[in-house]
Amino acid sequence: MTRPVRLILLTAALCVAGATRADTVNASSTTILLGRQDWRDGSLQTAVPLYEIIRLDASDVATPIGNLEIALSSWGAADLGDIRFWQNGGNTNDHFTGDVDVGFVRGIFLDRALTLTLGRQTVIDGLLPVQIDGGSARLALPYGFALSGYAGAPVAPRFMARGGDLVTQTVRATFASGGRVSWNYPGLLEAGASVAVADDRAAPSRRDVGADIRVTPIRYLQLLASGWLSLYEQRLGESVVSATFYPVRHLDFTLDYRHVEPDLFLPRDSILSVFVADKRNDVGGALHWGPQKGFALDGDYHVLLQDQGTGHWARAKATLHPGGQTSTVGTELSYLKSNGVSEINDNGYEEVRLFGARELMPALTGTLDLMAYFFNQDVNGEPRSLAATATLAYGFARGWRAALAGTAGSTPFMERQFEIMGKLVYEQTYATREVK
Amino acid sequence: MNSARLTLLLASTGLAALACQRSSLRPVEAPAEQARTSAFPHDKHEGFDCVDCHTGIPKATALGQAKLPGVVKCQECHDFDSMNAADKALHTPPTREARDHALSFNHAQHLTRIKTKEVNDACKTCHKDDQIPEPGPARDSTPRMESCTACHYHQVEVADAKCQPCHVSLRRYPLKPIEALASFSHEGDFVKRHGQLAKNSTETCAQCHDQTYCAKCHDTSTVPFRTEIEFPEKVESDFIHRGDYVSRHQVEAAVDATSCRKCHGSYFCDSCHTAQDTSYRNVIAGGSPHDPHPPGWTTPNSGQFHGNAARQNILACAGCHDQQGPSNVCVTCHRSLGPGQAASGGNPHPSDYATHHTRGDIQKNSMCLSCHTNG
Repeated sequence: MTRPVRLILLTAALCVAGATRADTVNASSTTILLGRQDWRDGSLQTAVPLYEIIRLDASDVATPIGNLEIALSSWGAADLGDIRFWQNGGNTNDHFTGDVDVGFVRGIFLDRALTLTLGRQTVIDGLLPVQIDGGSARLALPYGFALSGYAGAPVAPRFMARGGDLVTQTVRATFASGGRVSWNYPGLLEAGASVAVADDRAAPSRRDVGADIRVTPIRYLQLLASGWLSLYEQRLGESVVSATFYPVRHLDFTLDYRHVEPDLFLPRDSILSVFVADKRNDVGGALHWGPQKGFALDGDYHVLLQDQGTGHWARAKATLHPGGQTSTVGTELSYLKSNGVSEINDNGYEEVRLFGARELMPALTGTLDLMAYFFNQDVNGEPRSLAATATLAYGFARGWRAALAGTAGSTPFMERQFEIMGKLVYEQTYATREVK
Repeated sequence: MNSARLTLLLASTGLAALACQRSSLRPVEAPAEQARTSAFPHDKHEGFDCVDCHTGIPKATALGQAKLPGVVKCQECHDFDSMNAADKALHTPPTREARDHALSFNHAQHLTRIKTKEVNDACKTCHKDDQIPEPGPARDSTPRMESCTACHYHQVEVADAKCQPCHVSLRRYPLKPIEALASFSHEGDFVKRHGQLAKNSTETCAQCHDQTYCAKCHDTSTVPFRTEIEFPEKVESDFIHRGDYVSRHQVEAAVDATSCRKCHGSYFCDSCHTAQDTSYRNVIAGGSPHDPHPPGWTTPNSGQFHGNAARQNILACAGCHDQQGPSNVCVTCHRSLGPGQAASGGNPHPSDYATHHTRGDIQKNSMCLSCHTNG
């Protein structure tokens, strides 16, 4: 029995035992049947995967030693047609697949001051997030201080063409650990310092330290800054500074600056990590404005500053609810332009998107989504990508929803593209405690 | 995973669902408290102080500590001996099951701080007349949050979404951040901003979201597909990979490959590129893949030279060339045989590389030995 299967069974057993004693249980089951064409090296294959996705989180499970939280997010799939090509970026030669996204038991002790988590989990500890099979702990100390740490094996994808490699996100490692010390002054600031270490067998994969701070000096302003440094290269991998203003109701805008050194996102034992010390910066802002009820405007623009040239990334979106929340119409325009030294890095696009939703009858909602991308340089010999998606969603009983979706389009990789999707969802929150 | 394992998974989950159904767990319908009625006519006992009957309240440090008054309290005034059975039943206060509470509230502490001439006025500061349960139609009897914010200036906590310890848990509520939670308002470019916020606010996120929610997007090594596939009906959401992302992924990756890299490892690109017969892995397998590179890729000063492109976007190279270890395609040209020996392929390191690394580092990282074969 493989490790993921053991993890599934252990967590499911804990869920069964724990659910009956939990204060709150969030449970959902999603069944999805897809029918689509996969483009594979110039030929089309028909994939009809059937998915079952289970998500369960039982919190405040009372035990004599403290409260527990038990979480499970898992899925299984069967290919009813050709074995699908797109399997989280990899191939599989098996008609049946499945995995565990989250599966942990968390103990909450000492009047919620100490939290211990054991199992498959995602750790966000000041630096880049990492998904591990292992343990993590957080201890809240007096005067707003807190300590946290984690250790475990980074979760590697199970389905891929080559198999066995351990690269996930920015980490290629057999073991990863890290920690953070933080201080929170309620309402004014939260600041932290973090460290992350990862090793790929005996070779170093990451040696990073980071710092972050969030300050809210007045109610109308929030300042954020964070950054991390590669100790191995003694260079700054990423730093971000942003200021968000909330001058009046329904209006906020953000100004931000970001500096990245992309090679530091590679594991240190990647041979490609020693070729480059490129630096990139982007500066810009974003705006959200709701001038009247049922109408909102969003926009953002960033200029991309590189040694080789300047690029631009802009987006504008307008959303209107003409008949209240039962109807939606919107449009989105975006523009992207990079400026590379080689045509492989030099392209861009303009996007036009129209979307809408309307309640056709009680509990039955229809949506339409039209998207068009026009590329600066042809992609696979084609200048544009067009796609239209229509859905019908029906909430037919308490906690139950069904949806049917169809997509048609013409893209650079498929002259005519058709996809259908059927979905059945049960989602419910159970509770024992009555809100008093 | 074979069919037996899949069956096991589904059976286990079914058992969990059955456990929920058979236990005392009940579905939550609405986030608000449930309106209730009472067999006790409060309005007919207006001459008394609340604490004459609710004697435990002034000392109660948590909700649920002070029990409802028992029948003995009624018998202090009402002569049960002279009552018939129907009147006895009428004058017997109802019992209520012990309950846990989703709020933390200390009556004792509050009552000592509320200064009023009449003790009942202290109670009415929070418990308004129309919230006192009476026989007849059910009433919302729990004081609303406005009662708290009338005295407590919680703007700071609200702005920080620090709901605990007043609220024990918010996960059962299908709530969205309120206007006052400006810092965490999920509008505008929140999809872009939330990563920065989460770095030092995971506790705040966890007030409402459990990790299975985050996993839908973030556990990219294990999820079955991208989120957009699951929610095509959410046309307003700012999904990153909406629509025909396959066609535009190379454009966006050229602009900011680090954004891709925060979720996807090199395997993610290469698995697909191998299947499309465009990867160096296809060469290793003895194939003759389509060459995705432009003409002049290996010709210096051609304008398309791979060295310049690599220096601009090394993460794009990693999409196909990061997995072969000692057999990496770079090593076929770039090679150093050791001190004093001729090197081939030119020095690919950045100009200031030697300032951070000594020759001794070669022995500390086996990857270096791929090129520096003699140390």
